Amino acid sequence: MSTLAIVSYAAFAAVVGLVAAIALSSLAIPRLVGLGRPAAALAAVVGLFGLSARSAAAGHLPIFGTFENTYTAAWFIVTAAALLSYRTPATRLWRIMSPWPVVLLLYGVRFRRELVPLTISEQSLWVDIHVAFAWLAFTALIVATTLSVVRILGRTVASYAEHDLEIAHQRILLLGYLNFTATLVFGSWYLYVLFGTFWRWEIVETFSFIAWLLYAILIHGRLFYGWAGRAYHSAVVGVLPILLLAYWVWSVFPGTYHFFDIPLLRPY
Amino acid sequence: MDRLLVSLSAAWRALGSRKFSFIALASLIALILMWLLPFQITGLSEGAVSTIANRWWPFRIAYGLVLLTTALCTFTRIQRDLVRTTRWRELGGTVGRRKSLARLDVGLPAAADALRDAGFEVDEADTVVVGVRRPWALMGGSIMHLSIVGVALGLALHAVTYSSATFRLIEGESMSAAGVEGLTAKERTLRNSVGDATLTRIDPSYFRDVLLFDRLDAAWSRADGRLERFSLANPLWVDPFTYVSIQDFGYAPHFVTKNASGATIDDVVPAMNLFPPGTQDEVDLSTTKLRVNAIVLPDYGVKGGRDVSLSYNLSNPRVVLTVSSVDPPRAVIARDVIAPGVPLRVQPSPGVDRTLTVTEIRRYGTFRISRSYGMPVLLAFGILLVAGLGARIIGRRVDVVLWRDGEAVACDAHVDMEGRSAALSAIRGVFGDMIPAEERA
Repeated sequence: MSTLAIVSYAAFAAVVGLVAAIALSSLAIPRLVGLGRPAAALAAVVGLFGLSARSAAAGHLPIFGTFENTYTAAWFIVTAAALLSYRTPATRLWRIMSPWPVVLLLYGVRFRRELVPLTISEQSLWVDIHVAFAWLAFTALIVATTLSVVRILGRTVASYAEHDLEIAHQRILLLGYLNFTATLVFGSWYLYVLFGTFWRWEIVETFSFIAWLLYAILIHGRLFYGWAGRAYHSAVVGVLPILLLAYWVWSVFPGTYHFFDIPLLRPY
Repeated sequence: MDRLLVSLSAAWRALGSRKFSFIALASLIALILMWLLPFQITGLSEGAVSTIANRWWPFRIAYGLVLLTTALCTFTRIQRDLVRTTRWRELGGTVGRRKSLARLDVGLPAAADALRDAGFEVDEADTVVVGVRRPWALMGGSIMHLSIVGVALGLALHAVTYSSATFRLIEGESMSAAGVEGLTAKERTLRNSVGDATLTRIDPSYFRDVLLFDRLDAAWSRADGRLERFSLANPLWVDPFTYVSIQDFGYAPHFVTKNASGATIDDVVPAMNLFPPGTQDEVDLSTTKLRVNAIVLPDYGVKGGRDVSLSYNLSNPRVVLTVSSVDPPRAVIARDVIAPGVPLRVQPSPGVDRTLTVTEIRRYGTFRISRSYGMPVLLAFGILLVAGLGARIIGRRVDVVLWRDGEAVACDAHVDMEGRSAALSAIRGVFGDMIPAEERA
């Protein structure tokens, strides 16, 4: 990695860690909680700078390999948390979202970090569109799942009233589902461009399809049968393993064309 | 007959019901979890998994049920959604069944103006005002669900009409010269639909010295001199249903054999399987009656006393040639590592002197032509699916009904897909200070 890319990644990781530390410490020292929102906003800005630096050095958007994808996903989540904390009554959303970027960065830093160009199958605007929708979907669905955990615990996010939080949860879940659908549609189109087929039964697409169907059931249950309460939110959280596998199984399972940690073999 | 119609109607309602849609979706999910994922995880080939998912009857039944329930439910609801979209003004007739969410201390005309200012379409009568924002958003759900059926139709059309042909072209070779022997009629039709072209060049490249393919472009020229460039990720569309892409490349060494007086005996450019470096392939030179085994080292170097390739790029090539005689059959008669243009002396038989030269290493491309008449259908319905869902989710229709209630104006609202608290928020957002303070509290 270039020095700027290394330094900016380290800075982003540090600020993300700071946000998580403030979230944890504010349980014991409540007056620290006021630092959380600005810290999350700072993480968003630093992360944007870092991703831009990496993109400039690599010559492509940061979408190749587990390291880049966890970096991007963490930035999306911390940015969404900061934005929602400032723009909605959920002023402490940053607090409950803070573990996610930490976990993502800790996971991704174990993988190859060097700057490499995109492989030929990824050099397309369709890939960029597909990935953009994918991260928007992931972020929204993770936020919705985290809010479900809050509701299972019978709590709310300051300063949301409970019924307002339920509406917000529904909206975020629907937004996540919309972006997830767009991810699948654009992904299918690009798959046809690459391989002449619109669907392949490989593990990433299978998990994605399962997640899409499960969220469809939950959304229909919510809208038509008024599903609510602990049971409903438990079901939302129950989809999380499938969602995580849909997004990340490729980082440990090379038997998929979604595998991007390509071993850099030499010919000698 | 009446009984039949009643039964059909009952079946339609049952199969198009929300309950049945849950059963169908849950069944499909259970099938995939139990009878597909385990095979994928344990390493069954993708082809075999696809066969299970696409052809095994439980899956086909599950797909059919999901599509059936989606179609029936949507056809039922779309009529209602159309009515609600086009006849929203008739909401004024529902006043008697409504409960007021808030009361305004302004008159109906002022309230109607407030609705207009907030972007609502407004229908005013003497005692009732109806306002609606984004009335069309309701149709988004029906469009989305119909698109699911459309996608399935597109997939079926694609499955029936899809055809592809794979062919190789060496740099400098034209499609017409490459011939059509061994091709099926369908493949020949596809080839002909692309027209004639001469492959000008293939440009592959690997990142530094590692096996990371960072470029694979092809360019060919047409009879009128037009140059067309394409790649794996950016194929060449020859018509709205057909595209050509480059899938892979390989090496085609140019072998020239000459006799003692310098006359050319063999001059061939075979497409050989010589990549990655270290892969060997062989070709028989028919006139010289030599068998040439070749290994291409695209970026020659020496490491640890061994001849190796330092990268995958064709930047400093050498060819490891092992030559044997076919007639008369003789084992290895010559072996050397030579650079392009450097002749290798061989003696197929005693007293017979020949030279074998690899004059250049051309590249060949493996191309695929794909055609599908289902593709535009799939693409259109895929876009509609997202657009319909987006219209419903982001559009979110809002209805507001105002009516005189004594001296005040009563107000009720509905926000699509959301409850009474969302409706109350919408009312407060539109009317603000028009709601008396004690009501707002």
